[in-house]
Amino acid sequence: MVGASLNKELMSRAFKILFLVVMVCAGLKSMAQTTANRELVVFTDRDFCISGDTLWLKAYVPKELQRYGNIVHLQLESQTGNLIASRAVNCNNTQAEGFIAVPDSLQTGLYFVHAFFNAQRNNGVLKCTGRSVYVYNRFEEAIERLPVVEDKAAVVTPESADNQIDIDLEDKNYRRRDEVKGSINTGDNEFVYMVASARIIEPFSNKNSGFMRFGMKDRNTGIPPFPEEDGVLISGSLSNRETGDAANNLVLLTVTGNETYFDYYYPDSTGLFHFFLPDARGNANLILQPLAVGDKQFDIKLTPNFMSAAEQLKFDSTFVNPKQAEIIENSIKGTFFNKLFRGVSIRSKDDFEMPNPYGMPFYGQPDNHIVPELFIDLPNFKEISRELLIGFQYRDRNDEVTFRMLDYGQDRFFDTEPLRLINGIPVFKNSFFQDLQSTDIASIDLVKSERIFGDLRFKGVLMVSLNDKSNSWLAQQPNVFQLKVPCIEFPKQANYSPNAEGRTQPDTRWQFLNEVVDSNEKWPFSFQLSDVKGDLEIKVEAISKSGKLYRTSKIISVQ
Amino acid sequence: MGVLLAFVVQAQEMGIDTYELNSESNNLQGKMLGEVITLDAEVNTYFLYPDDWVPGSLKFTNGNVFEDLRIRYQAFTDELITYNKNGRFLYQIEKELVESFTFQDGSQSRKFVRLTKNNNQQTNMYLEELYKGTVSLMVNWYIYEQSVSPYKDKNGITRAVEYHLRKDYYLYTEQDGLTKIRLSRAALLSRFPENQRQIRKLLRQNKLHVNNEFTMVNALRLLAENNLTE
Repeated sequence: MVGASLNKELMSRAFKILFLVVMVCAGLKSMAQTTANRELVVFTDRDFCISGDTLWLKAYVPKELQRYGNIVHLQLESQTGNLIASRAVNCNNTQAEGFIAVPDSLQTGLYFVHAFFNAQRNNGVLKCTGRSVYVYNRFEEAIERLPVVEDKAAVVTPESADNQIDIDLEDKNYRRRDEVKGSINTGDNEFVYMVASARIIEPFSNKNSGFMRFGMKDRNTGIPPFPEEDGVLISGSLSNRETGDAANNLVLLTVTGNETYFDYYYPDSTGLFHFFLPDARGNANLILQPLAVGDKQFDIKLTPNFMSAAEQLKFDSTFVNPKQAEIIENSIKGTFFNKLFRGVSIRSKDDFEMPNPYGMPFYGQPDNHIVPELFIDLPNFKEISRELLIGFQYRDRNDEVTFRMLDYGQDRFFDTEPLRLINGIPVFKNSFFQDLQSTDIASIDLVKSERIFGDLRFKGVLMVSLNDKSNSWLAQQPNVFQLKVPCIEFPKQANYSPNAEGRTQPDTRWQFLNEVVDSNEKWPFSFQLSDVKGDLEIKVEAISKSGKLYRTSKIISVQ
Repeated sequence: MGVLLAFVVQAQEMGIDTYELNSESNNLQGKMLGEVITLDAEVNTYFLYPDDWVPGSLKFTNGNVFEDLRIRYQAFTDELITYNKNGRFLYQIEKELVESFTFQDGSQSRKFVRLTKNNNQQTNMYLEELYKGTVSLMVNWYIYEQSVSPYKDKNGITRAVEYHLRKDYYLYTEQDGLTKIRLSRAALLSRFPENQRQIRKLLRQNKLHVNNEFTMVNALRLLAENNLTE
């Protein structure tokens, strides 16, 4: 009797423990499933690329993250956590799209694509569902071994969506250059984001790359978690060139372009400075000038805005079998031919657009706008100022040239130099103006009042706009730093379509489709195959409302 | 101290006054633009509203928002004046950039918006927004200069004018812009000639006698609710 009761009690306790374990497991599983609806999820158009290729990316942006701004940073990172390339792209509601130009000299290996918002950098370890991608160097002669991720916990294997998503094709057999037509039927489902893609499979990367859950950390201490809205944050540090110590002199920024943008930053004792460039698209030409006392020389270093892996992943190395090696070699050759016959379609590196956020010069509307071309030619700036610049004094005493501007309100001249600008760039030596002839000058603006820009004050402004906008006069000037900085990427779509030249040229495309499926019913697609033979995979990767990743695919053989 | 002074002198010769800068000077969201001013006794005594510097905020047309400002409205020149606490100077904010500003006037929060009057000069005006709807009620605050017999003011200066802060009222629609209006039922009816009968009936039913700001706002709200502002 006592034994039976003890047995019953033990059974009950065992049942309770079992129940507890099951609940904990279920809880952990549900946590794992739902983390993606608080994370950015990156999709790539391919599992591998050749150095010099363009990797096209899409990122799913959950609604919960939209408070962090609308600029997503996409980055390509090496196995050792080194930043290879990065891009800032605009996100439109729940999606961001962009590309990363894979450097031509990048070594063969496994690389990772991550995404983050700048405002997330103080979130401790930041989670992101990224992708691993193989890069094959186009000069590599024989690839024998390749790294694979050993740490399987970081690999995210999507659930099968075979029951929820159908990929229907009109034909069963396909040959090279055939038109592939079909539709993706998603029916009633809970997917919030779906990407359909099609590519010829390269077996090694197809097997060993995929979604990965990354923990990322902010190792660039000092970049503020500033929510970037239609603009990018540029950070850097100022130091004394002689001592190497951090310097906290005022840093002036000029961004040249159709309209010149001006800003300033007063660094703290760490020498860090930050600028926000609103609506800046393309590659900006920055001119940074620390305001120096005497002959002090400075150094400026820009801090790349990226996040590093919180923990180093473990990697193993595996042999590439001859069949796999042959396909890799073919893909390298194919990419070469593709470039040869199709060219590179990415925009020029010099494209840049940035509207003036104030709609007027930062020093306000000028009191006088003089166009010297409308007057007789004058040989130097002294003559120009005497003849054309009313309310401006050019004083030449003891070989020292000083400028003074009239203060309209007080009816007297200011007792210090005005702010002097050439093509919108602050200039601190009057000697730059001395030899300017009226034929060199497009226009001159005079501001005859004490203006403010933030906390800076200018006792009058002289702005000379030259006909020559190359700013070559800046070269060799001390404490003037000219830098090219990528800002928001211009929106651009990948071109997977065949070359218009038709059959006369070889077509060696490996990718054919990479689009967001925006229909809940039947989503038709079509594309033309290339001359590449092999297994064609058409796949749909999807995210459910709960943040779970799903995947379904169809593989057909192209003969 | 010597180094600091040298830096100040040097910086002035660079054409930029930089002293008193600190980390608060680094507003990443955008900078204020304006013109440094000094207020003479007359402006200080007669033209500024409210009587003291009050907390306020400002929004630029480009979306930049500036909070925690100490502001006053200069009703004579129709300009917004604020105090820069880092540099300790007064300046008038670039009017073309201002979309709206608000300040605390005693217990009341006042919102001013910048609108363009469609006269020959396309004048920019600051107007207080009393009611915002399809037809908004706006107030233009201005200084009325009245000639009087000479007298000595509180500073001992002989004057022959008196300054009075006055208000003009305007109805504003995006389509028609600003139309001056008196605060009366007749003026309201004349603004909507096609709906006069219904408006008259509506005001009567609601026992609304339009003769001040409050009742005019209520009347416009009623008109909007009953689609009578077309």
